[in-house]
Amino acid sequence: MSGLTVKRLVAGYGGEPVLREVDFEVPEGGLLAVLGPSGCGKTTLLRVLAGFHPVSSGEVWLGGRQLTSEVPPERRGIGIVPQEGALFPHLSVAGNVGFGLRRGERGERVDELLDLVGLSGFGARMPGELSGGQAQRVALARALAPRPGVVLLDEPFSALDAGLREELRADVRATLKAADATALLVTHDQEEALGIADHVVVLRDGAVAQFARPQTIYTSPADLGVALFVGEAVTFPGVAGAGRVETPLGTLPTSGAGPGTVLLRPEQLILGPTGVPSTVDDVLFHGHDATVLLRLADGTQVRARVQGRISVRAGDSVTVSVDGPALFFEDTP
Amino acid sequence: MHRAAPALTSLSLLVAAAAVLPLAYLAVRSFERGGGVVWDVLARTRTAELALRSLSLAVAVTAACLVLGVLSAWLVVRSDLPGRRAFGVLLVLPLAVPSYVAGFTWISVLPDLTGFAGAFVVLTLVSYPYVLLPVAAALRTADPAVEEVARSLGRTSRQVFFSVTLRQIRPSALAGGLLVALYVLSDFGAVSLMRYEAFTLGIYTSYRATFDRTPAAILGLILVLLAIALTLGERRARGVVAHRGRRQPLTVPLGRARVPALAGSVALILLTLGVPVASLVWWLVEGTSTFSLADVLATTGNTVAVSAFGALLTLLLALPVGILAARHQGRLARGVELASFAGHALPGITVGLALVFFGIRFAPALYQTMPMLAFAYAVLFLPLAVGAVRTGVAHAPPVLEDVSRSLGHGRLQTGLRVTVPLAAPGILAGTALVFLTCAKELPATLLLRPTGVDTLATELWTRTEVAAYAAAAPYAAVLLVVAAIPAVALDRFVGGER
Repeated sequence: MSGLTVKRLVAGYGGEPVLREVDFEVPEGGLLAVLGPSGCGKTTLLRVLAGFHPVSSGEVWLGGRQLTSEVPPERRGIGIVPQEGALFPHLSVAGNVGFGLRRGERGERVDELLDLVGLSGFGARMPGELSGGQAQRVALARALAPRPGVVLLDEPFSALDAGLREELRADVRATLKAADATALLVTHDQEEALGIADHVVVLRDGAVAQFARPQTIYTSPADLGVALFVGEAVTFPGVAGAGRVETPLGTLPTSGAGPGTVLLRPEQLILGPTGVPSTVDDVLFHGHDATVLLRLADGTQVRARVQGRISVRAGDSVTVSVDGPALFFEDTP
Repeated sequence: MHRAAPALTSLSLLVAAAAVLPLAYLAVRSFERGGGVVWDVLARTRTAELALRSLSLAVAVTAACLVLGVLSAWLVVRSDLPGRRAFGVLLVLPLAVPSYVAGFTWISVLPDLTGFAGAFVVLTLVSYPYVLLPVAAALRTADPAVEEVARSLGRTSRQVFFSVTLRQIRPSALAGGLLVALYVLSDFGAVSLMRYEAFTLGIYTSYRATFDRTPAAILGLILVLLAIALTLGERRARGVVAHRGRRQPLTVPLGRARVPALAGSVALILLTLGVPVASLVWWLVEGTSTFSLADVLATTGNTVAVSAFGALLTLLLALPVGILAARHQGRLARGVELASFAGHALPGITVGLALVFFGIRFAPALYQTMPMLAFAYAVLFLPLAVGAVRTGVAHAPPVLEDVSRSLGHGRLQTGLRVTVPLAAPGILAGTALVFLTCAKELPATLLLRPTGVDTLATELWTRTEVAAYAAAAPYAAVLLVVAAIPAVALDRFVGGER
């Protein structure tokens, strides 16, 4: 048993490959998020792993067994949770969860799983009587029931509203961990990917742009594209050298050398007693925090994220400093 | 994303070819003796007269249906007419009554109501729901905010009706109107019973009366071309969809118009449903001695057999096309589906005629046999069945099959446990509808029925032709019941959705 391993995987439709030499690993019991914009090949990756789309070249290994294109979906031991659940509308909740189990083992295992997803007593309901979040939980229980080697979740929270999404995200992570399941989740939502997974694969144009822990992806993105995709950013052009770079916010410590782009996260910009003078253009209040739009002396606008009580208003003059080092991405010739 | 299985594609292509076969053969048969003969037939005054009669009838009936359909749709959806929900159901019911049954009930009590006037009255009363239904749907889904904006800009509610509401429903009314015109042009039952020699009746008499059947083929081809033009027009008109609102439309108080509106609606229902039912009851009571129950039962048995055969064949042919259309979006799938819709434009009389010619020439063993008649039904009602298969299969989306396979079930088991249970109800309902539609079919049955096998429709028609009204009545009664079944089922279906 060694989880899921994908080696130099290539797949496509006819001419152009959609997946180009994809490599990653999910250790047993691990939760991997595949993050990428629409059209990056996420769906194709899921279809290839589940056995609905052939591999052009490369290898897929699950629990020490190689899954070639000849292994049909029903013999792979890979569970899927499609978008919006896709429950069988003609079967009850219990019928859905027990669908992949043999007749004899249904009763107890179904109860166990409904319990695990917090829906004990829902067995007799029909899918039409469930809310969106409940349907997703049933879909997860259904996929977990036959104890698959890995569960694939396809944008499982995209159809839910914001509050429910966060709650369900935590529940799904807890459920997967409690079931000791290996899981792979694809999403286009960076907050979701960084928030739920142990490891993240950033997929771009069918190739892996970065494969690392969530913190690493955020604090040390592989390139400017990944950095911009995984979070809000303040960027300036600059020339780095000797561990520092000149920016409109002052001279900042950084690595790299030569011309390139300086990147700061908005939460690195601190409004305080010292720093560069600037004017508040506007304040966008989010509840738990706020974004302050600042105009610097040279006219560039930057965003600062401010926690807690907001004491500034549009038109105020403030000073802004930078906390921590700046990321620097050298221009590629 | 998915590629269609080659077997599915080739089966669908075969069905599409079969569906356009009658039309193709009619063309071949028309030009068999050279373009000169075609020109001769075209140049005859009789041809021009037939065309003129059909077109003037179509124009008159369509105009009347537009007025009746738009008015009644507005009353049912937008006004505060008392009992408008019940009116909504009753006003649509006449759609199910076959034109020749309506024709029988009218001419048997008003024998002088023949010719243009008779055909006009009968066809208007059975086909105005073709306008009512799409217009009511458009009124229900139109965005009420547009009307509210017009009112807030200073228009009165009457002005809003003409400047805003009518424009919102215009595409739907146009599509409905073209459907009425197509129905009138293809109708054989009403015009033959009301003795109005329109194109369809002209084709039938020229086929029956003369030894040379080429003119009948040429006339049939002309009728098909007219029908195709109308069908294409209807498809285009239907394509224009009004903006959908998210709220219930506003109810407009009728005020002083309430009493006339109510009286008008009641009068329309009396004409469309009251007259047929009263006339039937009268003849049934009057003529108890003139018909034998055994005959009626035997004919009903024939009708059931013929229709079951037809519905089954139609379903078999519709399966590959419907599955292809539901699961694949390519140009091929669309082309095949379009070809299978030929029956929508083909008048029954021409399909019957084409298969008579085809059968005599290429399959004399099949001519006037059940399989040939069943094939005619299949060509005519393939659109109905393909639609049913398509929606049925759409209830079982591929993602559910994927889930089932990922849970350890193979293709066959997935089909049995997921696809069939989900798709079957819709497909069965569609097949039942085809069965009932076959049972009402007249012109093709008249031309192709096996010798000695009479259906309810042909019995009613032949007896009414010779003015044996009392003897015809029981057949009309059974047909009316047959016609009412889908209407009642449809109403329950629609009622269940609310």
